This record gives sequence, structure tokens and C-alpha cells, in this order.
Amino acid sequence: MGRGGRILVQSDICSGCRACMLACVAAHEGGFGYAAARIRVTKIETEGLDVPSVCRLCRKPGCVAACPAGALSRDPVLGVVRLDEEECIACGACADGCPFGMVILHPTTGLPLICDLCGGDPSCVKRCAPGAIHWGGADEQARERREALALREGGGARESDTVEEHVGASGVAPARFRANRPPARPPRGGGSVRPASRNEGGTE
Amino acid sequence: MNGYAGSILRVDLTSGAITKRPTDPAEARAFLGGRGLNVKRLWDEVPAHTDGLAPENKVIFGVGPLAGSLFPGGSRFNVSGMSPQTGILGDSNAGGFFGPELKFAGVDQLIVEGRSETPVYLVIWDDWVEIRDASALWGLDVTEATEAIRADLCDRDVQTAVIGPAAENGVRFAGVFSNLVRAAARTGMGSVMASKNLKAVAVRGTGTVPVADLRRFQELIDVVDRRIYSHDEYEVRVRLGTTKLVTALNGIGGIVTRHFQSGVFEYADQVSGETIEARFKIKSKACFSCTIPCSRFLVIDDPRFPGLKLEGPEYEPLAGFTSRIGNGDLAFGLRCIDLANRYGMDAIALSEVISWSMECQERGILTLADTDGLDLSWGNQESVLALMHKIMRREGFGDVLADGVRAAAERVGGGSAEIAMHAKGLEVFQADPRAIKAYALGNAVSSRGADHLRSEPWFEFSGDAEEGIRRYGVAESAFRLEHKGKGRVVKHFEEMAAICDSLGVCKNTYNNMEVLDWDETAELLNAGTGWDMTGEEVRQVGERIVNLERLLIAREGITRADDTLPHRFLHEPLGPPDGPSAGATVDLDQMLDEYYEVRGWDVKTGLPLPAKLAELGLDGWDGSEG
Repeated sequence: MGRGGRILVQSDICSGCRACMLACVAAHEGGFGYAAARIRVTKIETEGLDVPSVCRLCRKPGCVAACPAGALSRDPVLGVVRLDEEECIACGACADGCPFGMVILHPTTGLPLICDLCGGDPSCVKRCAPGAIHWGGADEQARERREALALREGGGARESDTVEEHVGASGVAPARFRANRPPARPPRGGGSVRPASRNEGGTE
Repeated sequence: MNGYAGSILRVDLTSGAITKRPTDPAEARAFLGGRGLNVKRLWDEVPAHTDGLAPENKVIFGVGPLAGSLFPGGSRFNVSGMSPQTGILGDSNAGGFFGPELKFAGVDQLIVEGRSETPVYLVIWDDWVEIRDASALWGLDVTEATEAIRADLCDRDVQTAVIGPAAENGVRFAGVFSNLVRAAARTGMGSVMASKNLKAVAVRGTGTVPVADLRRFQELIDVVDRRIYSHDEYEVRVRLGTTKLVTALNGIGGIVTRHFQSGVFEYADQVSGETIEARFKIKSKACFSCTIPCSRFLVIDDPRFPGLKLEGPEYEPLAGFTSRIGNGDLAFGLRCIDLANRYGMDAIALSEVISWSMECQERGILTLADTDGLDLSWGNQESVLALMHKIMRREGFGDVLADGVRAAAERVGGGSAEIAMHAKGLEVFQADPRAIKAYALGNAVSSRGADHLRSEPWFEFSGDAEEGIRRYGVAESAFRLEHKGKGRVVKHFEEMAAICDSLGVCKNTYNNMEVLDWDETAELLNAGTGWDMTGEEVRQVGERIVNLERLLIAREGITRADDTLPHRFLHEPLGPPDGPSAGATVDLDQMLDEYYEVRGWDVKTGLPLPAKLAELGLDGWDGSEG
């Protein structure tokens, strides 16, 4: 855990249970629910699709740029966007400013909900049984990009051990969950998942 | 109110009145929620002998204090009312996402009463409750209706409990369906909704349920998670879910085969959970908040069924549409399951009436003329599909079957009642009770008619003699073919099942994997609610629920004489002659005596004795003292 990491997503093994959303709400709101989560799982039941979406930790965050009140700022260490509640006017411009629909507005207060990575040890990741979301450091991101590139250049699909080891090492999702994974498909980086459309977020 | 959504919502479809009142903490502590609080409501508000399809009947949705929580499998809801199929307690339970959504919308229990003049559906969007016109939805199947409602409300996260065309057409074993395939299908609760002209309940909940001690709750969930992840069955449950039972039950000679004519199915390998995994599984799926994703999404690659894809199935429909009807063609079985879901019928009841018809025709009780010319030989695919359509439409011979097997046998006569596989009017599941004696007893005494989920006494598979002595006093309790000790086993598991259904959690984790004992359950419940319950108090809530359900069905005339099983299980030795359970029959009376005794019920009548009722705070509820 720690600096320079992010939540990586592998949507093809997401079971769609939304335990991540529940864990996020428990961590930030102190109770059980999922509408106020800072992570989303978009579900299309007829197709069996479950797609987690996470904050992309943009280096030039659209949400910050869109804020007319100067209430949002980027934390240079973790890369997350922080909210100054005193300054926030709850206008929702940040939600419009995020191209990925990942600024959620709180269902009752209207304040923006933006992933803070729980300070570098995300609650959602700990709750994900299949390992569809996992914590990745800078090294892993680089490796995943290399693998993706190799695949595009005709290197063929190959099973990655590193993700398994990583998930196992976190002590949360057991390594034997491997049985749940489709065979020989490379993991995908957190950035490669098509984000949910804002209208599907359902916090309106 | 910590651990609870906080309110009970009442909707009168006759007058259109919508009222809300706070959840009563004392009532919650005595009956928890879900199934327990539902039967309490039914007892209080619906008079004896109320017809299941009458406007005076109610349909009650309930969730419990652990529904929507971090508990793995805390996703369940119960739907209850008087059953139009059995005439006694109607109650069914399902997972998915509907239960938690209802809770996040602020509702612990939803009571729907009366009857609307025209088709409607109910929208609950947090505090906004509206009865909406559903004329455009009437006639749509379960999948279509679900999608149409989400489009209507412009939100994919809307969760629905819908009925299909079978319910609309008056089939009495029609269920309530969530997330397309999550079926609360037993005892015809969908039929009750249809009788009220209620097509669906649609819910969106954006609230947060308060927790008394979140930190303690999370610590206990960490323990639960570790137990689940290190459980022997974890991997197989994630890979296969309950479909693992095809191989397992076939291996002990107890899979339902050609309407219980044998306990071994020669094509079991072709229709097993392992074969589904190898041929069709795309990935694992889970209900809300579950860390053991035992469901599966399948894409059926078969040119005969273009575009067929579905989540599931569970073991019950799988065996129902394969071994029970003598079908060894897996893709065809899955096609039937998809259709049963879309039509919105109970797959157990449906596969029983079909396989019963097949055996009746085999024995000459039914002729070709009786069945509208359908050749009902085992596994005849065309006839099975045709019959499903006819039942859904209540057309021709389908009309005879659409009230369930007990009613069908009454109409057909000619000895067909002897092979009608039901208890108290509800059809028997997909395992042969002769091979598993505690399940036999559980089916016989179940408060909603033949059913395994009222007890799910898996312990008799364990073979652990020492543990059997420790828990239930006799080694035999740990062996499936033995009768001794099964009264105690069933009592224990009935109470666990009642707690499970009332907390709003899944039996796969809570019951079958035994992730919490009574004391730990109390601790978790206390962390959620702020109560100070002991393990014994929690167990006693389970006992109270079982006893109240008994009182409720006794009001409809149920006694020991009704706690029985079909003739075949009591008198015909189980085949095949060289099978692993060859020759087994059920000696029910011996088990019943033990069961009533440990229950504190009258061994002659099977009714709770005054001392037991007093112990449970149900003093005089049987009318004995006014």
C-alpha cells in the first residue's frame, strides 16, 4: 500500500456483488448503503455484465477545473482530489466536469463524493472477493502496460502470476479464487475499463 | 433504529391509501424481521380460512436486520401471505438485490392489501411511494417487465420484484422474481400479486442504514470472511454453486430420477454442474454483498437455442428439467429453465406436474386424449415445451396442472394421487427423501408444505459420529440413512433456518457453512442493533417463529395427520437395486414421535403444548385461554 498506487480493475471477473460500494459507504458514512459510494459497479443483467468504475486520479482533473468555488484540489502525494467542505457550494459542476462520471453527488447533502483511496489502503479492495479490483503500485501499472502492449503487438495472451501473488499477499481474496478466473487472459489496467455513463450512476 | 431501515410501509390497492409507521423495536426483537415479522403480521391481520386469491389476503415483503449489511449473503427478502396453492402459510425467499434496496429505501416491511381495479405497479423511491399504471407491462414476461420498469424510471439500479404471465393467467404456483432469475417462487406468492392486479414492486433506495457499533461489526465480519475463505467447500461453491449437487446426490443414489422412480440418473454426467462449467460458464456471479459468488452467467452455445444466455441455474431447476423429467440434454434443460423464469413459475412445482403427468401416462392413468395428444414419454422435448406453454396459458391439459399436483390428482383420479409428490399441497424438491432421512422429516413437518429450506439439515451427510453424539446425543444423527436422532437434528436446523430467513441472510453461508454459532450470531446482531441479546435468546426467536407458523397452519386445520410424505417414500424401496441407497424407505412415525417430543408439542396431534407456548411468550395464542 502507499504512494503512487491506484485501484486496478479487471471487470471480466467482477461478480457484480457491489460489496466494494457497501464497504466504501461503511468506511465513509458509518452505515450500510451503496448510493453514496465513491466507486461504482454498473450492471447490465441481461448480458451478465458487471463493470466496476473507479476514480482515474487524473493529473489534470476535470472536476477541479470545473469547480467555480475553488473547493477541490489535487493531492500531489496520493493523486486524489480533496474537497474543502467549507468552500463547496454543492453546485455539482464537478460532477459535470468529470469525463468519466466518477464524481458522485451525495444523495442527501449534494456534496461531491470523490475517491480518497482511504488514505492509501482502500476499503473496497479489501472486500472484493474475486480480486476484480485490486491495489496496484507504479511498478505493476508499468508491467501491465507492457503486457498490454505485447499483446497488441502479437505477443499472445498469457497468464500473469503477479496479479495473483499481489491479491494473495494482501491476505484478503484467497489465491485459490484462481478457479474463478477465465483461463489465459491478461489482466487489464485500471485505466482500460470503459466508465459508466453518468446517467447510470443512479444518484440523481 | 440501528440495524433497521426504520419503517413499515402499508399500501392499500383498493383505496390507494399509502401509510407508513415506525418499526416497533419490541416486535423486532421478538421476531427479528423477514420471515419472522411477516408471519407475525399475517397472524395479526389475516383471518383464518382467507382465500389466497381474495382481496382480504395480503402480500407482505420483509427484510431483516442483516439484509443489506456486510454479512456475506445478507441479500435476502421474504414474501408472505396465505397461499393460493396450498391453502396454508405462503412464504418464499430470494436473494439478489431487491431486499437490500428495499431496506436502503427505508422499508423493513411492505404490506400490500386489497385489490386494484386495473393493473398497477408500486414505485418506492426512498420516501416517494406511488401506485402507477401497469397496463403497458401486463402480459410482459419477467425479463421484459424488469427491463421495461427500469427504462420507465430511467434508472438501471432500480430493483424489482415482478410477476410473469403465468401469474397473470391464474397459475397458482407462480412466483415473484427479482434480477430476472432470483425467484421467491414457492407457494404461489406471484399468484397473490396477480390477484391484486399488482405487476411489480420497483424500489430505489439511496439511504444509509445506521449501525450501532460498526467497528465491532466489521471485526466479526472479518471472522466470517476467514471462515468462508478457508472452508472446504469454498472453491467448489464458487465454481459450481448448488449445481454441485447433481454429481453429489447422484453419487449417493438420491437424485430425483424420472419422478422418483430411481435415485441414480444415467445421464448425470451430461447435465452436471461440472459440465455446465466446462461448456457454458462465462464467469461467477453474486448476490448483493456476497464474498462467495456461487451463481454463474452462462452463454449457451447451441444452434438450437440461438441467443440463449442466463444467470444460474440453481440445482433445483437444473435437476427438475433434467433427471426429474428424464432429460439428458443439458442445453434443452437450460432452455426450459430460462422459459420457466420468464413465465414466472416455481420450477419445483412445474417439474413435478410435468414429471407426474409423464408417469401417469406411462402407467396408463392418462391417455393421449387426456393430454391433448401430447406424447409424454420421458424426456420428450417437444411435449415438455408444449406443456409449459399450456400451463402458463391455463390451456387444455395445462389447465389441469396449473393449480399444482395435488389439485391435478384430484381432477385426474384413477390412483394418480398416490404418485402425486407433495406434502400439504406443496411439491417435493429434487432429492429423494428415502436417501436422506432428516430431509424426509423436514419435508413432512415444514410449515409451508414439502420443502427442504425450512430446515436444510445437512449435518446428516457429515458421517461424524462423535460430533453427532455431542450435538444430538446419538451417533446415528450424522448418517443420512439412519432414522434415530433426526427429530433433534431437524428441530435444530429449523430454528437456524428461521433465524436465517428472519435476519435476511443466505442459507449457503449461515446454515450450510455454519459461519456463526448462536452466541456469535447474537454478538453480530448486537453490534448492528445495539441490543444485548444472548445466543439462547436468538435461538429462542427461531423457536418462536417455528411455533407461530405451526399455530397459523393449525388454524387452517393442519395436525399430525398432515405431517406426512407421499406413499412412494414410505412404502416403495428406493432403486436401483444395486444403487448406493438401494431399498431405502422412510419410517416417518418414529422420527415424528421424536420430533414432537423435543419440540414440546403434543405427540398425538402435533400441536404446540401450552407450556411451550408460555415459554416462548405465545401464551394463549392458540386460543386456549382466549
